[in-house]
Amino acid sequence: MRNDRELPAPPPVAGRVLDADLELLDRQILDPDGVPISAVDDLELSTPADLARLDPEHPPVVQALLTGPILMTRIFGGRLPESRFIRIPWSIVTRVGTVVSVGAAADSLDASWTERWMRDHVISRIPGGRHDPE
Amino acid sequence: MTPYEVFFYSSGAIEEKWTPKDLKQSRLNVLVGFPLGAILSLSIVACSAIVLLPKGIGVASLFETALPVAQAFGKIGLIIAILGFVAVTFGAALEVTLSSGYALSQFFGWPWGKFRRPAAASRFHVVMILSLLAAIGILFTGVDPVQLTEFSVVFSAIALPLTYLPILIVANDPGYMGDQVNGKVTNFFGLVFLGIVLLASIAAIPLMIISGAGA
Repeated sequence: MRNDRELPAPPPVAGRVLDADLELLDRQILDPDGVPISAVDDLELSTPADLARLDPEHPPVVQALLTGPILMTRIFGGRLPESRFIRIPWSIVTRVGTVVSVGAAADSLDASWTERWMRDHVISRIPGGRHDPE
Repeated sequence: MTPYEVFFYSSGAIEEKWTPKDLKQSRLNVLVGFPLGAILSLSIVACSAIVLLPKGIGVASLFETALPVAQAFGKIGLIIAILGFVAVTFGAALEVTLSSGYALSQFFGWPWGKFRRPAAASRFHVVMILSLLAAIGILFTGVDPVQLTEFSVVFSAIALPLTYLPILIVANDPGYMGDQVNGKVTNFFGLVFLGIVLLASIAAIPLMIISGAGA
């Protein structure tokens, strides 16, 4: 019987290397129809809190794009508590370019609930609010 | 290159679905339209200095800038000037309202733009409604609109490099620009203008204090 622990670490996966700070954070997230969902405010990584003791064989993996009310922490510093962020799981990300594309419609994601709330409670009630643009 | 203009102009380009073909017209706008606007602004300043200053009239409201026109061309000239004022102030009001919507929506990554139904860009439209109300509120405080304009122009001059530099960086990123990425000549002029813009930004506050903000 084989013991998985005795196998050597797999070779590095070929592919594009992304600088998360440069190429993910602050990027625009678009749905398949090109509807903006949010900006990437933060990332959720699967890593123990102790970043100093990272295991090279088990590098941190991006689990989700995070979005939340970051304006105040951007201006005054500090970090939002984790509970204030809304997750967009990395598994639905389809493409990373100048924008981050995801494979789910904006209206199906929690991340754009404020858009729907404003639409249903404010803009739709204004005459002409649902009219097509000229 | 003031921040609100950058947002307005670039967002408009996306709304109107510009293609590389439109670059030509845009360059013409920049090379002919902007200097023309600058000449017109300078001539308003010159006319005010020649006509109003000797008579001891300080411009305290927009319509006093029309006095030289009235003197030179009489009633017809004044009518044309008033039509111009209405068009320009109305246009500027639309421009800054849209611009505040663009700036905030694009910062947060919200849907934006007048090419979407209002319901499909709800937060964008709410921001515009709120900024319109805030602007009206500021006017109701009885603040002197001319002085307020002077201050905002000075502060947008200070902010100039903050919009100019990111654009220069993006213009050098093939990811965004494709085959239209900046060449060496464009970058040379870009850097020269960055210097000018930086100078204007640094000189803005000292100049405002020395000149007493036009008072």
